[in-house]
Amino acid sequence: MSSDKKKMNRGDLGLQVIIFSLGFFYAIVHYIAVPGIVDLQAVSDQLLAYLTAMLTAAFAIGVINLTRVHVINIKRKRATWRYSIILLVCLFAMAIFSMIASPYALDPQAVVIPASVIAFSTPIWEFLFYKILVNINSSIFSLLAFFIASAAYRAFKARSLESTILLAAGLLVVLGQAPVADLVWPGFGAIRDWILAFPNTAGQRGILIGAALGILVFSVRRLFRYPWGD
Amino acid sequence: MNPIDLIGVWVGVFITLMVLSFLYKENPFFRLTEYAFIGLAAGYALAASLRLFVNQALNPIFVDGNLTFIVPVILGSLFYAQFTKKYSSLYRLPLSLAIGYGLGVTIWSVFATFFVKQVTATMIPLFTGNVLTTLDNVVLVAGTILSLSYFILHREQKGVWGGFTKIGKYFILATLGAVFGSTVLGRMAIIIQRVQFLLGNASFPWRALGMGTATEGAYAPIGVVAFLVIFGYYLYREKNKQVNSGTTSKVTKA
Amino acid sequence: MAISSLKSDPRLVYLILLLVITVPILSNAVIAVPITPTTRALYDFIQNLPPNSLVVESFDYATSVVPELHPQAIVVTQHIFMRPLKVLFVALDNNGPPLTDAVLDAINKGNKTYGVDYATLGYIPNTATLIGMPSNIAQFLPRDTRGNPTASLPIIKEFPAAKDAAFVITFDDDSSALFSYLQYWQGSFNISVAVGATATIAPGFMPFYNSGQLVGVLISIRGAAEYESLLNQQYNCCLGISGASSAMVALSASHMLIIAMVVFGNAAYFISRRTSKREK
Repeated sequence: MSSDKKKMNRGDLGLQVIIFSLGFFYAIVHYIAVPGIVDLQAVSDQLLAYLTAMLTAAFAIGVINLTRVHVINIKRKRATWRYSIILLVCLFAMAIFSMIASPYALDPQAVVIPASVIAFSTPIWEFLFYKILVNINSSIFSLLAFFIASAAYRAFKARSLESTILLAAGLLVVLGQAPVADLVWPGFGAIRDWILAFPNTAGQRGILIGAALGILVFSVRRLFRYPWGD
Repeated sequence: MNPIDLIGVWVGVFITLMVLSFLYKENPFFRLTEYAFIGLAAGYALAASLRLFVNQALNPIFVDGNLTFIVPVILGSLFYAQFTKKYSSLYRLPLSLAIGYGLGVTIWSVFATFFVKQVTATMIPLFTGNVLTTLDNVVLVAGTILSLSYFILHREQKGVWGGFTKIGKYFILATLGAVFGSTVLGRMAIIIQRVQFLLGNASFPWRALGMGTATEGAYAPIGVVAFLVIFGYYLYREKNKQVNSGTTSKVTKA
Repeated sequence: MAISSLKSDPRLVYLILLLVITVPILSNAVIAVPITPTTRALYDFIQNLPPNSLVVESFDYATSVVPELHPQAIVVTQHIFMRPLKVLFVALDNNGPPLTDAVLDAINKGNKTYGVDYATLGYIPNTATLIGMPSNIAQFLPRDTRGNPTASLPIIKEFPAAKDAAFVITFDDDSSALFSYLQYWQGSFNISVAVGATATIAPGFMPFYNSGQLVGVLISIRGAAEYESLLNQQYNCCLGISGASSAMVALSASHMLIIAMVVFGNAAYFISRRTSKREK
């Protein structure tokens, strides 16, 4: 707690009451049933349905932000303004065709939108998704393979005991997961499996338990946030 | 053979090589794919989110006649208040509801899944009849406890305690090494499949990725050659520009 | 000279990597893949599921890791369709539904009928929906991806709540989906969970496999190749359906290159250190 205690204003206090009420309810409904008086599970499910409806209403925030930034780019003719036009064209084209013809189509059973429009849009949407979007995204990620190869040569040096341990564990795993190494000597695969199953599990578990404790402490502190804002 | 799929294969090849051209140097081809990607991904996400809004918020009101859903829709629309100057703080109301719910659910779910079950799984017999199993169990239990001890930061890590935390640090380093080794597998898998695609290899899952069939895929190398010619011409023109202007190489602006 | 070339221009390294990958692919060489215990565990679990069990397949990966996880999705889905099981397809990533459609288009579905034996329910937008589904699927996912009311599907009439599922497998690229299923489905309803993971995050799932919270783990494209091999041993089919098996030689070659790069880089480092010590 800071020695300079700030009081929360009425608005902050109101929000904190909301956070505490809902949080406390959902924390205890998992453990408590009140049979015969109120079906807490049904109340919880109904509230969940309302929360879902509320959260989905924020669907356009990202696109509004993106559009604002790039329209300003274009208006002020900044260095990348031509690329911003391409971005906006791609954005709205993909949005429109996805609304008509994707698995997220607004009218998949052609009640309002004519079936001929859907039939025309479907191959265009499939082209945009499978032939363009999937290829761009996979290709951007594939650049990382080259960078890891370059880093393997430049950066992974056994300068100290710590880096040697890291490097040794890494190289043994790399060796063990290459199928050809396993065929030369099955011990390579067994070593890799052992490293993943025991030392790796131990370290990961320590990190996991520590992180879980941290999340729990933070959640409880946030739920019971004191009126003076600490 | 489907001509649309064939064109799609060539477009895919061009896109892949436009992205990979970044490895040679930054260029307008790469920039184009970058911006196109952001636009396409955002447009697709918008359609997905809108459909969910219709399913989960509007259908209960207009199809099922449940007017109580008007309240959460109004609350959700307060998220857009952040774009106004006067009412921007109103977005904190629905945000608080989401935070409260999230915190409450986190408390029981994280506790059970990440704490109780993991601690329980560490409570295993150290000494079994078998030497190898004993060694495995000792490594597991000691490693978990010692790597946890490394994160106890309110106590100075020196002396005997420092020795324990040092061993814990080594376990964490072994973990990070295993992650690095595993990451190599992941990265190589991605580039290998890209190369299979560029070579028009029959074992690439053409149909399962909506790229037609292996028949159209076999023509992919033609796209590779075409792109290399175009990119080579671009590099030739860039070099001529530099020679004529007498300046060092910089990224060409659009 | 070679050392300074590699240091000053990384493009040489990129070219070497490209060649090391391209040559095995062009040669179409195939290699047997040893089976890891986590893959074997998953395969045996699915193979031993009682007939008419409900399986939930969750496509939770972005298009960036399609080369790693799509092959896994293909082989596992094919295996499930070869057994007398019922399947619901969902997604915790909005790219999931079209990737699901692509997999369903490519596999052999036998005599399974949409709506009766399997259904694609689409994207689960948030944890609130995920938490609600074990109680009532139709309330939280009111329509499938084809626009049909979920409650009208025969498979949902047979299994109205997700807690009736015997097993859920998530193909996950960032661990959030797996953690959600572990926390909300397994923690409360004891539904068995398995994961098809990218190689980067797979080591982080080993504590869950060790504790019994996961019944199996597939690791990247190698996991898919191992699974193909197991399907081939049992059913004499499916080798090469995902393209994973044919990538193994190139994978081995690229791994050997990485090891060579590390060894070469360290040798250069120690030699230059010794040289500079001598000069002092």
